[in-house]
Amino acid sequence: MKTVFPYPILVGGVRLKADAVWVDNIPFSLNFLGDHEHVIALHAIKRDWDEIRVGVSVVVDAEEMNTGIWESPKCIAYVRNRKTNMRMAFPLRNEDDGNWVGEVELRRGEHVGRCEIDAWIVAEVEGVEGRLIGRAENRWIADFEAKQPTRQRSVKMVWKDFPDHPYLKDFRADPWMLHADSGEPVLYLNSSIEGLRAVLENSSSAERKLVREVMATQIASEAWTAMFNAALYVSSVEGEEPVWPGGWHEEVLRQMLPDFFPDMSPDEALVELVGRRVKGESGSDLHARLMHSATLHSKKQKSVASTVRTLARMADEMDNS
Amino acid sequence: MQRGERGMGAVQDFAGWLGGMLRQRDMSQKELAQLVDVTPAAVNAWVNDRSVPRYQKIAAIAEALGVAVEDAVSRRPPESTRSELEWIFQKAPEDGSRNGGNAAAYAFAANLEVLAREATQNSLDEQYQQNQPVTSRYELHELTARHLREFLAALRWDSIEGHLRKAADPQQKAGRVLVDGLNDLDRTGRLVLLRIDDYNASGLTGPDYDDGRFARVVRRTLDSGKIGAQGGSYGLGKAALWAASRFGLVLVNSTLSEDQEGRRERRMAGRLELPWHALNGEEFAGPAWFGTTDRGRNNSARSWWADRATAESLYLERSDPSPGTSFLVIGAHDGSGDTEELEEMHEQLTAGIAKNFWASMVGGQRSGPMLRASIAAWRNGEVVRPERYIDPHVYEPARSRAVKAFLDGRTTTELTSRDDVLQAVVSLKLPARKGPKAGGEQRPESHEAVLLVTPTGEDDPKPDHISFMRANRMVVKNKRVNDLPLGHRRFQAVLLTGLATGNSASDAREAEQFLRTAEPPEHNDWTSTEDLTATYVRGARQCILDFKRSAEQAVRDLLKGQEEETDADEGPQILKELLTLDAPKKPRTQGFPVVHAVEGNVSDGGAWRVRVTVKLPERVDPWVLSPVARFVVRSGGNIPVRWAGALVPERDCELTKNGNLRFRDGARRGVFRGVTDVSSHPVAANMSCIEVDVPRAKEIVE
Repeated sequence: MKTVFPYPILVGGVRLKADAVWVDNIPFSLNFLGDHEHVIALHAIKRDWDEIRVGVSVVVDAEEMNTGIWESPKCIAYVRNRKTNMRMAFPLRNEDDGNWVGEVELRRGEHVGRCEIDAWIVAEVEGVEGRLIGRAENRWIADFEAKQPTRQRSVKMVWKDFPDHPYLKDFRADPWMLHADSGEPVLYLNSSIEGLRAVLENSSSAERKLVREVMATQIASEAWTAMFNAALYVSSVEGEEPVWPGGWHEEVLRQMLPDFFPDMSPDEALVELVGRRVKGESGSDLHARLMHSATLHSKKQKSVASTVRTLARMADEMDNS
Repeated sequence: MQRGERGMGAVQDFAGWLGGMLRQRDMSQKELAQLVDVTPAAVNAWVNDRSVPRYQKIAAIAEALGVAVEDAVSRRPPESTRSELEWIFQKAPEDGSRNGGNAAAYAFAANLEVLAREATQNSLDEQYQQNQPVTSRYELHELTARHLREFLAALRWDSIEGHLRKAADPQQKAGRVLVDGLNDLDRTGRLVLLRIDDYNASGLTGPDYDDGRFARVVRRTLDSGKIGAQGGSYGLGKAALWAASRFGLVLVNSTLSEDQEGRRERRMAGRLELPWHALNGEEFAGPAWFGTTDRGRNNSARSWWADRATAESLYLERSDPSPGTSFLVIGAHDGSGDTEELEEMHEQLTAGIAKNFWASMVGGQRSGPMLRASIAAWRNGEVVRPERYIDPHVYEPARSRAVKAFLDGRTTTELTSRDDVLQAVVSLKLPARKGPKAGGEQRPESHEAVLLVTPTGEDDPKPDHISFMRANRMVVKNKRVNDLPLGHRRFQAVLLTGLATGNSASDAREAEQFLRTAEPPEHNDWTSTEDLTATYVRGARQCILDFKRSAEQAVRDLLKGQEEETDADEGPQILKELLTLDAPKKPRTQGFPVVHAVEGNVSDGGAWRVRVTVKLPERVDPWVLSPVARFVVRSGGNIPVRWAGALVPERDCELTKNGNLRFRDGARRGVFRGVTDVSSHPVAANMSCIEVDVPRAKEIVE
C-alpha cells in the first residue's frame, strides 16, 4: 500500500540502530544484538529483571533535512507491543546535524513476547507542528523470548510425558498435539512414546531419514491446519473492512491466505473467508483450499517426491546386492 | 662547556682549528702574520700548538680569516656563504665500469605512499626524547616563473644541468625518468619540491665520512647500520627519498642532537644520484655532492654549516630549534604516474601517512602518541592547503579507538557497546638463535602479544581486517581475516607485538628482535627472510606462521560468542524449519491487482485529488475493481472515505454502470483519477495521509 502525504516528506532514508542494552543498569552483551536482522534477543537474561534500556541512534540525510521546508525537526523512538497494546514515545536528543541518540525503556509489566522499536522524524510543516516527515526504514525488534538475535521464529515445541501431564493425559497415546492457545500455539510432542524422539532428532540411516521426513511433514501439516482454524475463528469483518486478529493468528493468516485465494489481496481474502464461514456454506471448497495451503506450508509435495525417489533407490540397491 | 662532553663531535684544539682554516682559506702563515700584526714565528707556534693566542689576538685572527669571533673562540667551522658552495661529481673509475643508477632506489615501488611510509618510519626510529612524540611535517611547494628561477639559482642548477642532460639516456631506467623530468620542466616551467621534516629526532650527527647518521644518509647506499631492534634506521628506506625525485636530487638540513665540530644548527648537504655519464670528454661515475670543497681530500664536497639566508633560499630553513632533519626532494613525483597535481599529491601523502601510522599517532592515558604528522601545500609561497595535523581517529576510527582503549586501559572481555574493545592474548613462540649460548642467561621462550578487536560501522569500506605492528606501531601488514563465522559482526582487529604491548621485559625485546628479522626490506610482512634463517635455528619460519595463524584464530574465537547452543527441549530442527511463523520477506508475485503508484494533493476546497496507477496480473477475464480511498490512522483499521462523483478513467479502463472500473482485456497497467468527498472526511484533508486500495468489485462481469 502506498501512502500520500499532503506535504513533502524526507526522500532519504531514516536509519535506526540499536547500540547498547542495559538490563537493570547492567550492560548486556552485544552478542545478542543482531545488526543484520535488527533483532535484540533478550531471552538470555538470567535474572528477574525490572527494566531494560536500549540505547538507540538515528541518522538522516542532514543536507536534505536542512534544505527542505521542515522546521525544528525532532526525532522520537516509538515502542509498540502488539500483545499488550503498549505504545510509548521517547524523545531522542540531537547530537549533530541529522544525528539523534537516546534510550528507550522497556518495563517488565508492559511487555510480552516481542516489541517493535521504530523511529519517527517529526517537524513543523507550513505552520503545523508535529507532522511526520520520516520513519525508520528498518524497525528493530526486542524479542523477550528469542535466544538468538534473528527474526526467524517457529512454533514453540515441547517434549512432554503425556500420561503425566494434567491436561495432556486425556490424549496419552497421541504422538503429538497442537494446543492453539491465544497467547501462543504450542506443539506438544509425546516423550512417553518410545523411539519417537530418536526418529525425529537423529537420522543415522537412510531409512530413518526417510521416516523422519515423512513424519515431520505430517506433523507440520496438521499443525498448520489447527493453527489456521484457530485464527479464522477470531477474525471478523466490520462493514466491508476486515478486522485482523493480530499476534500469531494474523501471522498465520497472512502466510496462508495467499494460497487460498491467489487472485485476492489479503484484505479481500480475509473478508471472503469470514463471509463464507458466517454464511455456513458447506465448506467443502474451503477445506480443499485449507488442505492445499497446509500442504504447501509443510512442504508435502517435496517430501512425497523425495520419499518415492529414495524408496525406489533403496529397492534398486536391495536387488543389486 | 667541558671538553669531551660533546660526544663524537669533540671540539678540536685551537692549533687544529687554525691549521684547518688556513688550508680552507688558502692563506699562508706569513699572510696571516701580516694581517694580525705578529711575527710568522708566532703564527707557526699557534699552528703547531706550542702557544695559544690571547683573546684580543683571536678576535683579530677571526677578522683576518673572515669568520665570526665566536667561531674562533669556540674553535668551530664558520658558516659557509653561498659563494663557497659547489657541486662535485665523482670521477668514473679507471677500470671503465659503469653504474646504471642507485640499486637501492629500485628496491621500492616509487610512489608517494611508499615514500611517506619509509620517511616517517625513519623519523620514528630516530626519536630523540623518548617521552615526547616525534613531529613529522610534510610540505609540498610548487614553483614556477620567478620563484623557480630563484630556487634554481640557489641550487646552482647551471652546474648540474649539463650532467643531467648527458645522463638522460632513454635506454636506461634511471635515464628515462630523467628524460621525462627534464622534458616536463622545460615544457611546463614547473617544479615540485617535497620537504619532509622531523623534530625531536636525532638529526644527522657524526663525522662527514666514516660512520654515523650523516654518513649513512649522505655517503652510503645499501648500508643500514641497524642499531639493536630498531627498524633499519636510514637503511634501504632512505633510497625512497631519492627515488621520489625525478632527478635523483635531495638536499638535507639537519639540527643535530649533539655537537659536531662545536655546532648543531643547519648542517646542510646535497646529493645527486645519476648513472654513469660523460661530459666534455670527461667520464663521471654518477653521484655528486653539494657542499664546500674539502681541501683535505681530493675532489670531494663536505657538509656545510649554512647561514639562514642560504637555508631559506633552498626552502630548508627549519621552523624551530628542536633537533631533527629536513629532506628536500627536488622534482618530487609519484613514480606510479597516478598523481600529477599538487592537490592530488597532498591527498596521497595524507592517505599514505594515515594508512601506515594511524596507530603511532594515537595516544592514551598510559602513554602519549609517538608521532604527530602534519601536511601542507604551497604554490609560489601562497598557501594551497594549510598545515593540518592528521587525526588518526578520522581516518581509522575503529582501529584508532581500539588502540586508544588499550592505551587507556579500558579494554573489555565482552562487548556491551559498539565502542567496546575486546582484548585477548596471542602467544608467539620464540625460537633459539644460532651460535653458542650466552652463558647462564635465561632466554625467554615465548611472548604474549596483545590482540584487540572492536566493532566497525556499516560504512567501513574494508571491514574484518587485522593489522600487525611492533614497537613503533607502524602497520607492518593489514590483511583480511579468513574463514569468519557466518553472520558475524563487522570488526577491525589490531595485533600489538613486542614493545608495542607496553611490556619491556626480555620476552618483549626478544620478540621485537625476532619479528624485525622476519621483515623483508620493505618491513611489510612477517615471513621467512634470509636474515631469519641466518640468525635463528630451524623452525623459526614455522613460529612466524603459527603466530599469524593463531592471531586469526583468536579473532574468530572472539567473534564466535553468539554461536547457537542447541537446547534439547526445543524440539527437532526439521520441524522448526517447517513451522516458521514469520512471513517471507519478499512477497511472491501477486495474483491480485495492486496500486503501483499514487500521486495526490489537497485541493483548495479541502478534498484529496489523486491519480492512481494500478498494476494488473494477467487473467482471462477483465478485472473490475472498486477503488477505495482511506485515511491512514495510527492504530486499528484505516477509515474509508467516499469519492466525490464518479472516478475518471484515464488509461486502459472504463466506468461500469455501477461506477466501478473495468480494465481493458490484457492490460497490465491502468490509470484513473478521483476526488474525495469532503463531507465524508473524518478530519481535514491536509491533516491526513491517504491510501488507495483496489479491491475487486462485487458485480457480475457483463
